[in-house]
Amino acid sequence: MRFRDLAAFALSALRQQKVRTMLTVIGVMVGTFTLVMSLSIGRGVDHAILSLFRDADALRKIEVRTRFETREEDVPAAAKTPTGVMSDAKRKRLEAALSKRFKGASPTELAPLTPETLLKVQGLNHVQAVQPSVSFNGKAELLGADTPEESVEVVSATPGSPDYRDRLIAGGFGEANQYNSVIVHEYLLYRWGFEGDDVGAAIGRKIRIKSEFRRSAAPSLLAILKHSEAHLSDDDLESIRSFLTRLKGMVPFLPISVSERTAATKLFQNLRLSPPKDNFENFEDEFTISGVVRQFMDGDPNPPNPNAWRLHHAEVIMPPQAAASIYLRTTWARDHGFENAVVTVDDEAHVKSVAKELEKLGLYASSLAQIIDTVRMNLLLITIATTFVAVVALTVAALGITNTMIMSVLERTREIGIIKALGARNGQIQAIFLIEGVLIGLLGGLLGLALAYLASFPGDRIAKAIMEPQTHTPIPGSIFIFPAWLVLGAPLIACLITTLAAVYPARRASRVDPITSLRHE
Amino acid sequence: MVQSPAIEVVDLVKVYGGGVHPVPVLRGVSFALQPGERVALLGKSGSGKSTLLNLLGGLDRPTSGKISVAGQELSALDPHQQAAYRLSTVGMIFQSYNLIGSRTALENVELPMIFAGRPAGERRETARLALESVGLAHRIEHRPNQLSGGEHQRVAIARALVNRPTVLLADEPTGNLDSSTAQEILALLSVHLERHGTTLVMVTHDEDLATRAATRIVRMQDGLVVG
Repeated sequence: MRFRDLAAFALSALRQQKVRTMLTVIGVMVGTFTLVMSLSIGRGVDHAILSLFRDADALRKIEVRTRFETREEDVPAAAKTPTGVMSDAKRKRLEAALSKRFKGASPTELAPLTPETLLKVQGLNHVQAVQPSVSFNGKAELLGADTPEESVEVVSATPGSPDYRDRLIAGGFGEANQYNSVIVHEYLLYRWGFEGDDVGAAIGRKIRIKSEFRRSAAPSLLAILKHSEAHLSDDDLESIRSFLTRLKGMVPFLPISVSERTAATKLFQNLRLSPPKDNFENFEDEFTISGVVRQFMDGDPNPPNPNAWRLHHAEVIMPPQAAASIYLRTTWARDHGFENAVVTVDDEAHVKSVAKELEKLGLYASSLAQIIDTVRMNLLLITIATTFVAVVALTVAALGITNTMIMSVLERTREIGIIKALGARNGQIQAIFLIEGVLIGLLGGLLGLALAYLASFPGDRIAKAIMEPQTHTPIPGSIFIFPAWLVLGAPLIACLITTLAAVYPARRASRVDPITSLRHE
Repeated sequence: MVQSPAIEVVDLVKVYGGGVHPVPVLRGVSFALQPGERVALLGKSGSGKSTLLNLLGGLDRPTSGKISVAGQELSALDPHQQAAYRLSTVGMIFQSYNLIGSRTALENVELPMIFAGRPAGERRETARLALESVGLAHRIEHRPNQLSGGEHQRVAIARALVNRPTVLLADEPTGNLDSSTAQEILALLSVHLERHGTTLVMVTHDEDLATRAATRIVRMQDGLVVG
C-alpha cells in the first residue's frame, strides 16, 4: 500500500468528522501558539537586551571602585582570640564572630584608584582603555564679559561618548587641543546671556573654572596619639577638630553614666572648635568652549553606561585628561585616587576574566555584562516556565486527541473490520491512525505558528508601550523573534506530540477483530 | 493428471472460550474441493458453517486441524501473510454487504486494490470495469445509502472479485434480498465464477438456493459434516 493512499484514508476519516477534527486542531493550535509566543518573546527580549547594551558598547565596560575590605590575615590575632575556657567548637565560632566584627569596624582600602593603580589596570590583558571618572563642583566665569560667576558641576567624558553625543547642539570636542576644550550646557550659556537659538556663537569663547577641594581628614584618633604633640600637622589638627565636633554632637547618645555625661557636656561647652584657615585647596584654569549640549529630556537616549547619569546634570563637560589633572592636584586625590574608573575591554567575552583580574588587584569591579548575565538567566528561567506551561497545554490537547481518536476507533470498528477482511494489514491500519495524528499536529502546529506570527505585531506594540518608558530608549526591531529553528521546530513538536497521542488509539484499531466487528449490524 | 484440490480441510476443530466452559463449534471437519467447484454449506444456525467460512477466509485460526487453500497451509501463515492471503487468494461477500458507507461504489471496489498497492489510475479503471460487469455502470459515484439491496450486493461482488481470488466465500449472500433480486445475484455470481474458474463456498440455510446455485452440497450439524 502506498503512503499517499494511507494519507488519503486518514484525510477522508478526518473530513468525515469535520467539527471534531476542527476542535482537536484548535486545541493543538492553541498549544502551539502558546509555545511559539513564549519562545519567540523569550528570544526577542533577550535579543533586545543585548542589542540595547551592545549598541552603547556598555557590555565591554567594567566600572571599578576602591574596595574597602579587611583580609583575614590582616586581622590581628588579639582581636579575634576569645578569652575564657570553652570548647574548641565554641572557640572556633567565637573566633569567626570576632574576626567578622573586627573587619566590619575597620575596613581597609585595598588599592586606592591612584594613577599607579590605573596603570596596572591598563597593563592587564584584554584591557583596551581605562578612563577615570571625575566630577567636582566649582565656579565658572565667562572671560571678556560682564557676567557673574556661576556655580557649575564639572564632569569628565570621553570625547565622542554616546553619553552626551546625542545632546550636542553645537560643536564638540575637537581632535586637537583637547586639554583645553570644554563642552558647556545651554542653560549655563543662557545664564551668561546667550538667549537666542544661536548657541554656536559661544564656541571659541574662553571660560575660567575655579574649584575648591576640601582637605582630607585623617579618620583615626589613634593616628594623632602616635604623633607627639609637637609634630601635629595642619591635617592632624583638622582631624582632631572634625572628630571632636562629631563627638560633641554625640554626647547625649553615648552609652555612659549620668555623671560621665555631665562631665563630657561641660568639657565640650568650653571647647571652641573653629576650622583652620587653610581648609581648602584652590585651583583655576582657563578653557575654551568647543561645544554646547542641550538639556537632557525624558525620552532622550539613556545609554546604560556607568556614570552616564552624571553627565545629564553637568554644566561643564571636560575631557578626562583635563579633569583628572585638576583633580589630582588635591592631596586627597593623590592619596586616595579617583572615586571610580571605567575599564573598556576588547571583547564582551573577556569581561568576566578581566573583572576577576581587577578584583585580584584589590578593586571592586562591576559590569553590566555581569548584571545582564543575571537578567538573561532570569529571562531564561521565565521562558522555561512559560514553555513548560505551553507544553502542558499541548499535552492537554494531545490527551483530547487520544480521547477523540479512541471514540473514532469505536465508531469505525466495522469499517476497520471490513478493510481487515479485505486484506489490510495491522501495520497499515495503525499507520492510518498515526497519520491522522500527524495531520492534526501539522495543521494545528502551522495554524498556531501563523497565529503567533500575526499576534506578534500587536504584541510587539503592547510590549514596547510597556517597556520603553522604563528603558528610556527605543527598542530596535521586534520583541518577537521567529528564528528558523522555531518556525520548523514548533509544528514538528506539535506533530510529535499528536502522533504520540495517536499511538494508543492506533494500536487499538489494529487489534479490532474483523469477525466480531462484521457480525454486528 | 490429478488436480490438486482448491481447498482441503482435514480434521478441523474450533473451540471458543477455552478454560472452564469451552464451546466446541467445529469438531473434526474434513473435506476437499476441486478448483471451480461450487459448494453450498447447508445447516441450521449454530451448526458451525459461518465459523468454517471465517477459518477459510483467514479471519480466524483453528484450534487444531489443517486448512489448505490454493496450496497454502493457513495455520502456517504469520499475520502479515494472512493479510496477503485475504487480499489476493480469497474474496468474501456477506449477507449485510459490508460496504463502507462514506465511500462511493467505485471507492468501495477500489479498496482491495489500495491494499494491494496498485496505482490510482489503474485501480480506478479496474473498479469501473468491475462495476460495469455487475451492471452498475450508472451507479459508480453513488454512496451505499443511495443504492438498493441488490445493488449493494452487486458492489460487494465486484469488490470481492476485483483482485481475482481463487476462492470466493459467500455468507448468506442473498439472505437480505427478495427472491427475484436473489435470482439475479446468483445468476451474476454464476457468470463470474464460470468466467474465472473461481471456487465458491457459500453458506446458506436455504435448501432451495443451495440446490440451484451449488454443484455440491455439504451439510453441517453440530460442528460436523453430515453429508
